[in-house]
Amino acid sequence: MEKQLEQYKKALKLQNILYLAAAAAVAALIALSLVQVITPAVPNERWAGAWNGFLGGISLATFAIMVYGLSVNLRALRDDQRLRKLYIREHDERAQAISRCAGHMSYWFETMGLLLGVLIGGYFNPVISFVCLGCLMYICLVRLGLKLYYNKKL
Amino acid sequence: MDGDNVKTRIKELRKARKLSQEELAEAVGATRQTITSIETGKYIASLPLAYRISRYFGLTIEEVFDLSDQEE
Repeated sequence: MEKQLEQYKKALKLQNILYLAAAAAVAALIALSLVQVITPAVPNERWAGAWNGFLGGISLATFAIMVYGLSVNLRALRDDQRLRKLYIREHDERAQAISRCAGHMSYWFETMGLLLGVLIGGYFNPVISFVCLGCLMYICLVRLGLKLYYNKKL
Repeated sequence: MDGDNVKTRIKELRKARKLSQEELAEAVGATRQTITSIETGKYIASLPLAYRISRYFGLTIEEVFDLSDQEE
């Protein structure tokens, strides 16, 4: 277990760098948006303010998630007991089995939902149909790519 | 390793040693929920976890997990 914890410490340190980089990028985005250097490309004046607020909210939430993740990792890196608990929580095999089952099922629900979207949306608006088709193709391609990767890896 | 049913003696062994699920979970590197699920037969432990649990009690896997249903 000690060897795994040492490796986990290294992984957390790398994760912290990624959290920091992402938090800095989002903070820069928020700052640029606040001073209106960048504004959302919404042609409709009525929606521009609301959309700007929506993007600001999403950016702030992303920033908060990054900072929270960073604080959890930093506390774990300072305290061995906390590190062990975090390691067990993240590597618990039942939790991983649940994720695998949920991932497998969600793939079918997503593809079936999008397929319905392609078919039904096509009767109302071709844009909806094309968007659903694009998402469906993306999900299927990602799935295929991952299957090929894990077929070689396992 | 889920779907089949494997009976275990974990609860009995744990009670004999006055161990809580949390303590056993911590010792074998799993969560309390995983130990609960294994004890109730909802989840079948992987080979490494089964080995760690058995080794913790100083027994073999066969002495902790009843694998007789798997012999067919």
